[in-house]
Order: sequence, then C-alpha cells, then structure tokens
Amino acid sequence: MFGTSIRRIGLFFLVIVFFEIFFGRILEIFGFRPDLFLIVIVFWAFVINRHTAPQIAIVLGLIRDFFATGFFGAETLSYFLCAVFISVVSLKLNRQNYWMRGFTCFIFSLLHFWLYALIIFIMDEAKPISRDFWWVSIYHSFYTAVIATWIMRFFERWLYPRQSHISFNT
Amino acid sequence: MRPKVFILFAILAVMPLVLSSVATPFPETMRSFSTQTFKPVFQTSDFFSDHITGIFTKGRDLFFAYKQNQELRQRIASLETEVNQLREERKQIAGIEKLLPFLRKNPRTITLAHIIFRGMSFWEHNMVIDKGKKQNIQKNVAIVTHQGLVGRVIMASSSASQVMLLTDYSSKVSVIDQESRDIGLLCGDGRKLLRMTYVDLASTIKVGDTVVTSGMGGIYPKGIPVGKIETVGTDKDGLHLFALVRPFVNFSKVEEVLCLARASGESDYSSWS
Repeated sequence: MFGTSIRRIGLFFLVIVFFEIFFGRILEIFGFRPDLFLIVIVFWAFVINRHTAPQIAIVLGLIRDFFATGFFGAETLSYFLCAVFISVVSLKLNRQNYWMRGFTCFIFSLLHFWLYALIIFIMDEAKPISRDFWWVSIYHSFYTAVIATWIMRFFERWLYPRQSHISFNT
Repeated sequence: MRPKVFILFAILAVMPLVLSSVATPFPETMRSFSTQTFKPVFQTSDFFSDHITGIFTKGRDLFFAYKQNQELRQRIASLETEVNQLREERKQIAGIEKLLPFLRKNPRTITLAHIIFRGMSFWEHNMVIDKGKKQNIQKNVAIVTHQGLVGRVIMASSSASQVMLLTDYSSKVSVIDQESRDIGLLCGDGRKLLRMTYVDLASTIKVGDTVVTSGMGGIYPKGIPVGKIETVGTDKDGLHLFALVRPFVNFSKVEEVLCLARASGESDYSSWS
C-alpha cells in the first residue's frame, strides 16, 4: 500500500512521535523548534500517500493535543485543514525537489500557525494575538523548512532504502 | 478521497474541539492522565534533553561570548563615565550649597561663576571665570567663595572675565583686624602668605587674629573674611608693623566663585552683612 513495510512505517511513527513529544527540545534554537509533525504530514502527502495525509494529520494532531496545554482540539483541526490543502496542491508541485518540499513546509507551517491562532481566537477570546505573532510565525516556519529539507532525505532513506520503490503516487 | 469519507474525517477533526468546548473537564482529564502516565518518560527525556541542549547552549554562549564581552565592556565604560559625571556634579552641588549663606546675605548682586582657566605664570596670579559683561560682571567686581575673598575682576569680556588673585604682586586690599580693629594694607607677593603692611606700631594685632576687608577703596565690600595672621613683626623702616596672613581660600582648589557685582546706580558697597 505504501511501497514499504507496515512495520517500518509503524516504527517510523513511533520514533517521530516519541522524539517530538519527549526530545523535541533538543532541536530548539532561540526558543523556536521545528514542527516535526507538520514535516511528517508534508512528507506523507508528497512521498507516501497524499489521500491518507488528512487521516495522519488527525492522529498526529490528537497526539499533540494530548500533550499540549492549549485549547484541546485546535491542533487536530489545524493539522487536518493543512493536510487537506497539502494533499490538494501536492499534485501540482515538483515533489522530488527537496527545496520545494522545504518551501511547502514553510508555507504550510505558516498556515498551520495562523489557522491555530484563528481557532484559538474564535474559541478563546481571552487570548489575544500578540504583536510579535507574525514574526514568530515566520521564524518558526523558516526553521521548520530548514530542518525539513534535511530531514526528509533521512525519512526517505529510512522508509525507502532502495530509491526505486518510491512511486510518487498520484 | 471520497466525499463521504472526507466528511467523516472532517467531523472527526472537529470533534475534539467541540468536545472540549462543550465538556470542559474531558480534555483536562485526558491530559492529566497522559501526563501522569508518561511522567517517568518525561523525567528521563527531560534529563537527557537538558544535557544535550546544555552542550548546544554552552557552545552558543561561547560563540557569542566575545561579542557579549565587547558589549559589556562598552557598557562598563559608559557607566563609569556616567558615575564620574555624577560624582563631579555632586561635588559641584556641595560647593554651591556652601555658598548659600553668601547668597542669602547679598542676593541682589551675586553671580555664580565657574573657573575655566588658571593662570600658570609665576608673576601673574590670576584665573578666568565663565561670566562676563552679559551677566553684569564689570571691572573691579569682588570675587569671593564661601571661605573668603579670592580677588577681583581686572578685565571683563562679554562672557568671560579675568580675575586677579590676592596673591598676585599687583593685588592690594584694605583690611582690618577683626579683634583689634587695626587697619592695614594686604599685598600679594607671589607666595602663599599675604603681607599685611602699614599697621600702626601701637596696634595690638596678634597671631591667630582674623583679617577681614575694611570696605575702604570701594572695591571690596566690608567684612569679607580674608585670612588668619600667622606672623607679626616690625617693618624694615621701623615705623610700622607687618603681619603675614594665610588666606582662608585655597586658590588652587577653587572651582566655583561668587561675583559680587554692583547693582546698577550703586557706586559702592554699603555693607557686607
């Protein structure tokens, strides 16, 4: 189904979730940390299966919501909407180009940030959006994009040790 | 993705949000459960994360240490300058406070001036102050401090004036012994001590007496303290006594002075007090 073994995919998710939840702080620079879950969603939509990206987004969003302290469900909805957009646009992009993947991560990280803020703003009016929000979202997204361009190669080699297996599904 | 499946997942994605807004305790219970369950993992991961990020943080700190060091040095230099300026201002204020009794006694004619230059010639003992004709400082205006007489203005320009000190060779001031009331002429001779001459042989001046201005001559107001008598003797001609007077003012340390300018239309000082 995914062009690779289910066991490998399961291990991949386990490691990613474990790393993001428990060791994500290691990648923190100047208070910014990359959104590994978003990178995984983009990677999933680009490389593995774009149709199942929203489902993956829901699962990852729920996991994040369980361990976050923000408004419960906001991450899930935001990730889901992003994944839907990604799955739609991924067809029209050069999915093999790592820079394009990085750029997509940047755009969708921004979108995720703003969607999340919008949801919070609608659901919880007591939390106003700070003046630095726009800059913070750009820095954060840029860092995510930088990490994405590098880490996606690693994901690919891990899940598809033999490059010929990548089908770039339509 | 088929529309029905998409709608199903969309509902699934919105569900937690709706659930948390309708049933508030639910997410809190779930989160506290997950936190409690994964507490040991959190602790362990935190320990490792701290160590790993600590390495990065130390490296980053080291990288920025030079720049920070430079910035801190600049800041220290700037603060030191500020501290020095404040110290200087404090000293000036302390000096001015000491001058207040003079200001209260003769408020209409007094102008505060700062010394901007000290004469370096052996023969001419003078200094320049930062006030001139614009501030109503004219020639022969008496210059004093809270300690006593300093000298008089010998040349006034628009915004600065030259002051002749008591120790100058050309300086001559009519003085009176505060205790014996004997009058004499105080002359400068380029040294620290001033020479009081033309004192009557029958006078009772003695060492330790205070000498003040007599008010004669019309330049210096009467009663300005000048100094203390240190030595008394007979002049070479044998007709008069002389006294060596140590001035109250240390001329090398004076920073602010008072210019006792005459009020317009006033020809002479009536009284110091």
